[in-house]
Amino acid sequence: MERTFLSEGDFSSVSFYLVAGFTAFCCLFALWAVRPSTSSILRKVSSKKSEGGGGGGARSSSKKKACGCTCSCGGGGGVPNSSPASAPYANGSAGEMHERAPVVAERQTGASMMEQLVPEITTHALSYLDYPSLCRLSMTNSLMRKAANDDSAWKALYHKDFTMEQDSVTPINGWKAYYAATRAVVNVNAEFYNIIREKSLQAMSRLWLHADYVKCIHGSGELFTGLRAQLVGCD
Amino acid sequence: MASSSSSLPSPSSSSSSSSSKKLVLRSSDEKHFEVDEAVALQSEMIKQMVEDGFGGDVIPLLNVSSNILSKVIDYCKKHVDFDSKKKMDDRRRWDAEYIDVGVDELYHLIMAANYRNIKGLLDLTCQKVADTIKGKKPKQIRIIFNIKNDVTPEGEQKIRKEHSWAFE
Repeated sequence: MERTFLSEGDFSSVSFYLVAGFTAFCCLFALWAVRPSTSSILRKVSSKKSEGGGGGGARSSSKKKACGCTCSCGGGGGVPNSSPASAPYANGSAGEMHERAPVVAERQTGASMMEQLVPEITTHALSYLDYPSLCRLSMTNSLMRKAANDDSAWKALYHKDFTMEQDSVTPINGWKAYYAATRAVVNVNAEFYNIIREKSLQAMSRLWLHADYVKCIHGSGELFTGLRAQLVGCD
Repeated sequence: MASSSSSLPSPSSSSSSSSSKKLVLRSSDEKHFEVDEAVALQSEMIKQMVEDGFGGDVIPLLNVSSNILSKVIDYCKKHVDFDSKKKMDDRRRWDAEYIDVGVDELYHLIMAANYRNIKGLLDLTCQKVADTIKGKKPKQIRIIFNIKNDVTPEGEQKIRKEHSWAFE
């Protein structure tokens, strides 16, 4: 609004006082709206007055001008946040900024936060995940799959979940596959010992591979071959 | 937790009551924040700058907006307090409340913590990202983080099969 007045260039004294009064009102409004930064607004008011006096030179300091314009829009409309969310960032006005300005506008719209993080941060964040979560994340899209299949992430997870001893190993199919294989062995082992503890023959016959080459070394040192022998051994 | 106006760091022009050394930080939108040196030095990047002799001037933080900066300063202030008291439970509770923010704010906090090199805050924010992902289905993760699915249904089936070992 103010800008329209100013751009007409030729000022009668009446319209000058009108503009000056209106500006003062707007700045008071801004002052009320953003109390914490009182001092900066006061500076703004004084700079505005001197510009008004300059008349024709009003456009000379365009940065402060833009700032004042935002103030008067806010004051006139009575709705401080009616301007687009990005406006406060665009003109860099301290008065209008305030905490309410949403941060969303700064980020490219449409792109995911996860895709905009730099790789080392993504790696850092993913290092806090367990294996099912990493797998689920890798199922979301191709970029996330790349991030979640990161070899060093799986190596770290392997060390955390299993053993540090395998530090010198370099798995041919990568650490994820190595993790999966180890996980399978660990799971089968756990199940095996559970069954032994429960002494369930039925469960053991289900778990045990029905083949002659499968052997079991009993705690006593005896060697059993095949399912039947194993079941006997369990007894 | 939204930072209330009382916890907002006061602009440089209006406060100099405390006798300890102060540093002035400037956000990307030209707001000035005066903070105790100990608080500012939580940031490795600022520490480096001070060691290099830039501490006397205003320290510009070009990538950090004022609302994020004030939140970051909240964190640093609180953790200077915590460091002197060593109450782990209090710290954990405060951190949990502090980091209870939306994905957008979280993103900006991560960027600020990374840029200013504040290890504690970076750990906290990254942990929050992980906690947000944990236990969620791929579909839910996509929604929360606005991840676009670019995989065909057949491809998805294949990936699901590859990962069956993880969900048995």
